Amino acid sequence: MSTFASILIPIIFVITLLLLIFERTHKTLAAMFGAGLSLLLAISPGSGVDGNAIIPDIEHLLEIVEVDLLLIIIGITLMVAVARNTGIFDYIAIVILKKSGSNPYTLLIALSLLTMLFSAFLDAYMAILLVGSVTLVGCEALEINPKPYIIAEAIFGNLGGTMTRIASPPNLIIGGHFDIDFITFLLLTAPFVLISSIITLFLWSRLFRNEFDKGISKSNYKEVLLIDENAVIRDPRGFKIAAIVLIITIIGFAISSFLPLHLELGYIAMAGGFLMVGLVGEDVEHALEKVEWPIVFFLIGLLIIVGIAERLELLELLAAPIEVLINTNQLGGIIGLTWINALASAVLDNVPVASIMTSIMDTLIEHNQELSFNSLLVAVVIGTNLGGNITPIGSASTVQAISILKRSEKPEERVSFIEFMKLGSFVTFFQLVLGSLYLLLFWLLKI
Amino acid sequence: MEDFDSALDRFKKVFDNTKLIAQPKINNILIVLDETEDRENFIFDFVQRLNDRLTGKVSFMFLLAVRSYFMEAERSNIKVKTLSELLERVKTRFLGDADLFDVIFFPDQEKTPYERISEIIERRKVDLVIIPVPFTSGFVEEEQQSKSSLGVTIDKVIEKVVLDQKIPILLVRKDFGDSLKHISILVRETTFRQDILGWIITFSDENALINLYPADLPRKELIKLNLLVEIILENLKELSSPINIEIKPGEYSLNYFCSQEIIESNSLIIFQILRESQEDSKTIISALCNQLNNTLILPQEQNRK
Repeated sequence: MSTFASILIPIIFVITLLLLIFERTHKTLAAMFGAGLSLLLAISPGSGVDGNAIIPDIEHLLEIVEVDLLLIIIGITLMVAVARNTGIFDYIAIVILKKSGSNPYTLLIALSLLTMLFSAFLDAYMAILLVGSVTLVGCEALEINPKPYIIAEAIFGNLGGTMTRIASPPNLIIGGHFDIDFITFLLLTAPFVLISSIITLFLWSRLFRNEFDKGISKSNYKEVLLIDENAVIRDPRGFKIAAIVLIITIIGFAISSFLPLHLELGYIAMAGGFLMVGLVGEDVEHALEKVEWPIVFFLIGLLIIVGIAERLELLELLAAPIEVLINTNQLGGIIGLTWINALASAVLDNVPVASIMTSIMDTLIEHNQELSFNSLLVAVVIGTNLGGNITPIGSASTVQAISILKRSEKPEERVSFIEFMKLGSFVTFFQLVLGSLYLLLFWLLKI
Repeated sequence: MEDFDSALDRFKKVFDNTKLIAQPKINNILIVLDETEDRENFIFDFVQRLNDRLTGKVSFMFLLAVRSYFMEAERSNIKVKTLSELLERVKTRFLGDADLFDVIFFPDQEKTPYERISEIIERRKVDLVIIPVPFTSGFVEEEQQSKSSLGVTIDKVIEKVVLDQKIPILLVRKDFGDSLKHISILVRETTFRQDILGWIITFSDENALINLYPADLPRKELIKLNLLVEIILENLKELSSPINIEIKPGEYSLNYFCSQEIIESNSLIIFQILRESQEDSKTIISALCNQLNNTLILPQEQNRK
């Protein structure tokens, strides 16, 4: 029996999704407004098809919102913001630039991998922001074109985002929903990311061969070597503390997988963030300003909307065609899911894609007991994260890269929408082909 | 993008601070004159050298710093020419360069030379102070050198102007030759002044020999010093300046460097005064007392710790 809420909630769901797709308003505002309206209807007695409320109490709401996921984001962004103020990441970036800047190819490898690692273990936004800025200044000093490096960093930012459970909001949503531990997630995705990195670097070095073959002037490199990396350390005591807390937190994420007690990653992230603030002695208000509150509230809103839609079984409609595909050919269906996710993430924000896909995965697993969960997980993670490389607006990293290059006064250092799409889709195509082969391997080895 | 802008600015600042610049930022030069008879050639040599080597508008200010000692000078039968007469004669040697002499300052009889130098620095932006050594020696008791003093004016200029105001000073022997063939630089930290190349170009002449004397530097810093020399040589090559640079092996203390270096009228020693070293100015003063070299004392740069 249809209720007033079960008619209105799908309409709100669709309108919110349309607002997110067409970006007519701030995504956090759209998600919060949609969630507010949906929640108002969902808590009303008799709103569910069974005669009860869709969300009868706070426990049900917290189940939807996934508090652990929010704690991870708050903890990590707090920790990274405070650590950043000590100069630790600037220091690492300058050391890497000095070690690798003698040759365009080593520079490409070093900057790309640094972005990937920052993105995988810390924060993707901070990764491109920091490595992008040192690249821009470094390329100016070395008198080389920053374009190949900055775009590569955006692509590697998303590749790093594929690697760990904490690396990107889609991974947080998927990993959190299915309660996958840090190491399991890493073992499933890291081999793909590493092989993909090598192939991407090879492709990139061919694509920009003319630029890289120009080389780097020895005297310019020598001037870069004179740069004093210690000059960026703003707080030597805080610098050491930040290094220790970051290492302990990352080790904490890793060993949480092996601890007898079930320790959620959110607790570790929060402990790391709080320790960092307390020990470095950061101004608390300033530190709290640096937490990515918009993404936190965007996720709260989105998870509420999608959670309520799932309870109304709306997402089964979306799952149906994918289910048909998988039932026809399991391997083909899973590989197809990677490509579908990638294309959807290229044009849409990958967070709602991941959120909806999580619910679809629930349905698929429920209806098909033989389906390999690991393959399904890897397919969705690869697709949602790497799809962002296809267009300049596909991810925060690519948006940032374009805007960094826009600053250049030299036309040859800028990148147009079309040029980015050509480069991005070319590389993503190979990454997705590799992802498909990786899934084939999963199927063959019955992982 | 606000975060990106601040990250970019931070890195730019670090990179800019390291970049070697081929000319020191000198626009306003204060030349302090004492009772020396041959002031005309002294002024002429310096004005010509600096005007030729520094691009952009360079203004010279002159301070005849003996006015307060007129009485003593007269008592000692030393003929003190007035600054205006002197400058008129120098001007005639620089035909067409009337703008060269931007400020002419006549001290009254009330204040000491150091007070006058301070006043000028407070009122005007001064990028380099040039002072002859020994300064007004011979007739003024308080300006006479001793084992622990270069005379009250120079002592105070080193302590207050270089160390506190961060303005470089050039102490010039009165027999200063018309060319500099030998420059010795004490490198006390490799986060050295980025304008060191500029200072070398400004003061050295063709085929000059530049010797770098490392102070107690760790190995990593010595590698940087070698790198610095390579860059300077490449820059000089590009500028077609035939100058030779060598790093002297060993470790050199400030005291040793200031007092042991061979003194010639066509040589110059350069070193930095370090802000965090409280005893630095005293060491410099007592070391320079032993040997009067042409000496350029550079302050630590503003952006350094």
